[in-house]
Amino acid sequence: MNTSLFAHVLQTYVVIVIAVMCVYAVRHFWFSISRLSMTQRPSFQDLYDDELPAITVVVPMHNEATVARDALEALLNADYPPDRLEIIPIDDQSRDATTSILAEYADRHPIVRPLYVLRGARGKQNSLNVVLRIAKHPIVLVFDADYTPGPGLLRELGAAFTDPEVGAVMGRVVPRNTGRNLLTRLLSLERSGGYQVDQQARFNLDLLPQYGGTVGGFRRELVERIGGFHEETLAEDTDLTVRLYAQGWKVVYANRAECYEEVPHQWSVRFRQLRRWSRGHNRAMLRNLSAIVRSEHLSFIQRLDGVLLLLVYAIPPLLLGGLAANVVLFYMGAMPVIASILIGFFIVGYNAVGNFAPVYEIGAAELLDGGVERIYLLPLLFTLFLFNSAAVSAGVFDTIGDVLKSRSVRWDKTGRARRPEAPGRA
Amino acid sequence: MISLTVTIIAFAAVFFAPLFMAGVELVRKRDAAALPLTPEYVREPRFFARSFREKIGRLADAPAGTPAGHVLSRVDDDVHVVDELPYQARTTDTRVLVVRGSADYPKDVVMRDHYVVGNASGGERLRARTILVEGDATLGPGLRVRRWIDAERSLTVRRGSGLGLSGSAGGPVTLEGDVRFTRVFGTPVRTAANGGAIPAAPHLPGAEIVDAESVHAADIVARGDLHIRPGARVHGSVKCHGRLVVGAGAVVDGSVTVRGNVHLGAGAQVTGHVFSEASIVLSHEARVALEGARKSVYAARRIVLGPEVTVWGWVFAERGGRTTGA
Repeated sequence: MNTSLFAHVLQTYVVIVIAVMCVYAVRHFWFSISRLSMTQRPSFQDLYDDELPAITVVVPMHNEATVARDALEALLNADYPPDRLEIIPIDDQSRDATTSILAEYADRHPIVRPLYVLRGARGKQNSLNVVLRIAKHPIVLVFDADYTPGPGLLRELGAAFTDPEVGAVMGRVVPRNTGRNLLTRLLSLERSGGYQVDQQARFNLDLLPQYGGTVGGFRRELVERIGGFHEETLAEDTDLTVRLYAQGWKVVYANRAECYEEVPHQWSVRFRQLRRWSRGHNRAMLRNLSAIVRSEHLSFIQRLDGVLLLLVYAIPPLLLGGLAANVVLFYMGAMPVIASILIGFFIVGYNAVGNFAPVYEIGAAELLDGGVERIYLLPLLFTLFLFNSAAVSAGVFDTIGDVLKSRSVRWDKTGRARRPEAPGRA
Repeated sequence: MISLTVTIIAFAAVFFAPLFMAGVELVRKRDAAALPLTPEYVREPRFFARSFREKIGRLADAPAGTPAGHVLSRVDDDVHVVDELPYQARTTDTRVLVVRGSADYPKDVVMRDHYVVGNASGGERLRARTILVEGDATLGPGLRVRRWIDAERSLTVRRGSGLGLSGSAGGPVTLEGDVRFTRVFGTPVRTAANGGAIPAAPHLPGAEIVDAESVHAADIVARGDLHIRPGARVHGSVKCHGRLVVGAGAVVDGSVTVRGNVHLGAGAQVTGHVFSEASIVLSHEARVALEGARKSVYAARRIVLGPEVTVWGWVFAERGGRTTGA
């Protein structure tokens, strides 16, 4: 390949990168406008109902002795009739006191029916497939073990299934350990933007709000009918979301169904989490992209949103490639100095404020949530640029390796931030 | 040289100022707490009454005639306990009052928060902020409530009244003509035989049709408008992405979820929820939910209740509702 042709290829690549960035920037900007100044679509949380749907609540656990009691106590205190409620904590090959804690609660509370997974592949998706077979009730709600749902939350999530077209529901996750360090503060901002603005806007605009795997639920028979959860996935939530949409079902986002969670406070833990999300999400993208594009149940704009949703974890390496191409073009003399600098700033700036840290979405979210001083932290989101790009890109390379080598995926649990419970606690 | 130095300093200031502010917030942690949720929150149609009773209910046993001080945690709350209403027509009272007996309100009274241990009646053109009644309440006409009203047994609201944010009762709620409301909860909520015009059902050209007098035994999902013709029976829930008209005497044995407006014809019945992202009209003798299985009529915009409508449960209009009447 001669130098001129190579330069043209790189220049074309940079143009594509800029076009992709513009599309995502417009999308995020549209979402922010929708949330701030357009009609907000109501969810079903204001419905009062004497005949609540029977639900099974699932809490996957692997070495969760530090948080298991809190999660179970919160669920047992739910404002939900016990005869309409079943709680299945899944002990996924724990090696700590989780097993004994679950046994203790099962003895005391008939509605607690633990599932003990003793051998085989670990992972939420495998456990959920077992739950699909043993759950007694038609609606399954899923919580992570470190979540402590309030008493009204089950009601609020269950109400979404009033709509016969709804296949899944998603609530809002709010970090509890916000003030611990820089990472938790930045993740808190990201979560606000992601839920308060991004998810609600997609719901407002009749696009594709996402089922998020926790603080959410789905119709059991429906998931069984579409083949259960793929065992070769690390992002069973994304996978389920797109499969539901592709077959004409809807996901409801319930912004006021809120639940505290703990976000990672160590950069290494966050790196692994993001890498796993990227790997799982990209596998889901490869598996479902054509189904979304070809779905006859979705409008053009919904399909476009679905494609952008699926590609979101494939973008960072594309952008890093754009930066590299920019540098190469600069040294080849094929790009004017000013243009090269501007494009470099554009890519870095966009990724800092537009993609993984959509600054206007976060700003809008903080406005809606009443955040005042925390908005000053927005410039520090710049620090997440390289970090997020590296973690997500690592996930992309994992995905490529998985595909090329037909490699099985292995579940990697996110480390808990909460301290171990005191010895002798009842 | 000086201009270059100034330029560099200006650039550095512009570049580092936001980072400096971020650093200050990071160190001082002025806004580092988790977003305040209310995890104990539970959807409860009579929440206001329960909360108010918890604060003020114990005063029902306090000696009459003595000021009880501040019990509502507001500096301007001046709570007094009385055996009987000390009001005459056109009285204005800024106190929070605990009435240990029944209260028969004269005309044109302007008052604040009242806790009535017995029954409440009268109240023509009564202006109040809050009323909690432990017995039966029959108030109006022309009652104006700014915040909420609740009766432990039954609540009857005469014509031309406004219920503020919430009107509720442990038993039946009866609304006469031209009553304005936002949320009403009762077992059941009924409207009286009022006059007044009910908005006509919209014409829906191109709508999907459920034939008159037919029986449909499955959920229905309509991509556009849907017209369930008179006398039809649907055993299942309905989802409609456009507008929905349920004809006279038709029955939906399930819930109704609609993106557009909903119009329930005369005598039409829905046994589940009626949920609309726009507005809802319930015509003459329309019924929603069943005794012992309370549900909701929810509209993101407005609700119009015609005469002799019955709703077992909650009627909730985000932008306000009204009963028909002159």
